Amino acid sequence: MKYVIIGGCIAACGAVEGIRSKDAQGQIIIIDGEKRGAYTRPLISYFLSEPSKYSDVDYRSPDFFKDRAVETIKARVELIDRPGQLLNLDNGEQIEYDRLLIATGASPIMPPIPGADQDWVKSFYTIGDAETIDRDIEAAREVVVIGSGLIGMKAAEALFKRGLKVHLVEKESHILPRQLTPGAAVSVHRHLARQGLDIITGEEVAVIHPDHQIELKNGQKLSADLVIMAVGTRPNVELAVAAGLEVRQGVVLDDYLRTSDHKIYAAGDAAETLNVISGKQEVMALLPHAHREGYQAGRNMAGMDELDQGSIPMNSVKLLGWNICSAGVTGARDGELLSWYSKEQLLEIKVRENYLIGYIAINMPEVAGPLTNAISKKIPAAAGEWQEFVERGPSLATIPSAYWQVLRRLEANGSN
Amino acid sequence: MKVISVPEYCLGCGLCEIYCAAQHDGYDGNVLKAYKRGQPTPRSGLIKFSQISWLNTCMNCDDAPCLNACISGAVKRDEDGIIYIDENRCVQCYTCVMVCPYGHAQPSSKSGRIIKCDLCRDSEGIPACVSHCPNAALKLVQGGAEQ
Ligand SMILES: Cc1cc2nc3c(=O)[nH]c(=O)nc-3n(C[C@H](O)[C@H](O)[C@H](O)COP(=O)(O)OP(=O)(O)OC[C@H]3O[C@@H](n4cnc5c(N)ncnc54)[C@H](O)[C@@H]3O)c2cc1C
Ligand code: SF4
Ligand code: SF4
Repeated sequence: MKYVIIGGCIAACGAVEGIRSKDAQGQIIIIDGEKRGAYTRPLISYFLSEPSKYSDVDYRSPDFFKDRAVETIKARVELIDRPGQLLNLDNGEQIEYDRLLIATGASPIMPPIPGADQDWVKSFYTIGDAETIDRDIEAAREVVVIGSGLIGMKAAEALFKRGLKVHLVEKESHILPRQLTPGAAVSVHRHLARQGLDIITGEEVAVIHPDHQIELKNGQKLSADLVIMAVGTRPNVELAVAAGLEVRQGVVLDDYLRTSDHKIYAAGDAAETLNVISGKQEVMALLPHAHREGYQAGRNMAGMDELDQGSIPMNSVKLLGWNICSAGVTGARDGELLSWYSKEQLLEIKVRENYLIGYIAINMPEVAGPLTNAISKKIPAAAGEWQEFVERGPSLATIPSAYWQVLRRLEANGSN
Repeated sequence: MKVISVPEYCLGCGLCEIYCAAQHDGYDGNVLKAYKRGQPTPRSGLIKFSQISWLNTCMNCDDAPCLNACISGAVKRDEDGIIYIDENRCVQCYTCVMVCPYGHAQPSSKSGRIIKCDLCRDSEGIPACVSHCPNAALKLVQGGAEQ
């Protein structure tokens, strides 16, 4: 069996591990368009904050591919020829496959803001981007970051740590709009502002003037030596579209992570996978998902018939010393909201008919794991147990007993 | 391999935590040294749940969520199947903490980096918690946990 993987990062590493868990012999070829080996994108913000300390951004050990007999080709795939079961590379090579994995990830969106095409307006997505920004800020004092999603926040934090004056502009009414409720965002906003980050919410950038003035829709002007554009990402699906595979926002997959061509699989940021809470196929674009899907696709490529279990949106991030975990749904309309606060800690949970469907935990990682799994494994509590969890003070000892029973911690006693 | 807890035998005395802490961070199992002069930090915590208690050990899960999730590659599995943390690589994002079903992997109160049960892989013999439990409420068994 000859396995070929397009893209050489997280989902690809997961796939190699998955294939090798079942097939020690088959030939594996990775074709990757990025110069660096398999590195981990989240580490680029750590690199930017302190290049000497975080110069190693590798995802796996240097011998990872060699130890698993994986051949890597540094080139871009230009075409998937399905009838011929082969790939055309930009270096002129042709590579045949028996099983193919599309692990092409995503790319940053560049919105059509006038002036966004100037060379001091950067995206923050690859280690190459981080290295360029690292060079460019030698002479810089002020920077504007557009977008307060995870990538924008981590870029802002890194530049702030480098001593720059950072203005963060978010068009939604609060920061981290996809992770936080307005209420939870207030405390994070205040924490970051107190340390000196200039955060402007509910406002859009109108024009990026060549004289380094950034004009907002309300007329306010900010000056910046550098602009970081972090308004979101979109899946790299061009190859799949050109090959006639079914694609919506991301590559469409069945329950076994196969595309509409059963010799071709997809995983990671390029693909739509099952969100077990919404019940829909969605692009979730998160590293844990990319690895897990890659692993599962790899096993199935190697002949297993294992259903993909799906996952839920979730994220954990540290921003200037604060840890923020969130998972599931945090939208205003869903479920009953229960909250708990203490100094510098906050927990919001969303409950629907004894099921936990979402949470935000600020500076309380101790309960995050069971909460995430109560959502993704859909473990119901007894009536009132989630209320009690919050009222008695959230801790592992107040997690509903039904949860521990499912995990068989309370099996022997069946205690309630 | 993993250590499992038998809640009906557990007295909640906490000796497991004490010997766990003393087995790590270079205290070499010396409880007096750890608790007189050091800052001992147990890897597994005791959970006291209404009438019963158990040591919240790592299950060394088969398809380990922490290993899948780690954004830096700091979570690793050794040749014996033991999941351990390469502390120097840990950037304290707590993604692994967010996905551990048991709430086992946790930040160290000292370093902020993740610490977890490593089945005392750096020392001889059975894990310190198992050998010091006075009521045989902890057992070292084969296998991981399916997720
Ligand atoms: C700054 C930053 C911080 C982040 N922080 C977090 C975080 O804290 N937590 C989290 O869960 N996620 C985070 N993410 C998201 C995470 O990095 C992605 O979800 C993850 O990298 C997806 O893995 P992947 O393998 O699907 O795609 P990628 O890692 O994007 O890899 C895709 C690879 O495919 C290659 N490729 C694409 N097209 C072709 C082609 N035609 N031919 C050859 N090669 C091709 C690309 O060059 C790339 O190397 C962050 C991302 C960024 C940028
Ligand atoms: S997810 Fe938790 S219990 Fe499972 S191996 Fe990781 S730390 Fe251990
Ligand atoms: S906290 Fe450390 S070990 Fe855990 S996921 Fe983040 S980098 Fe990996």
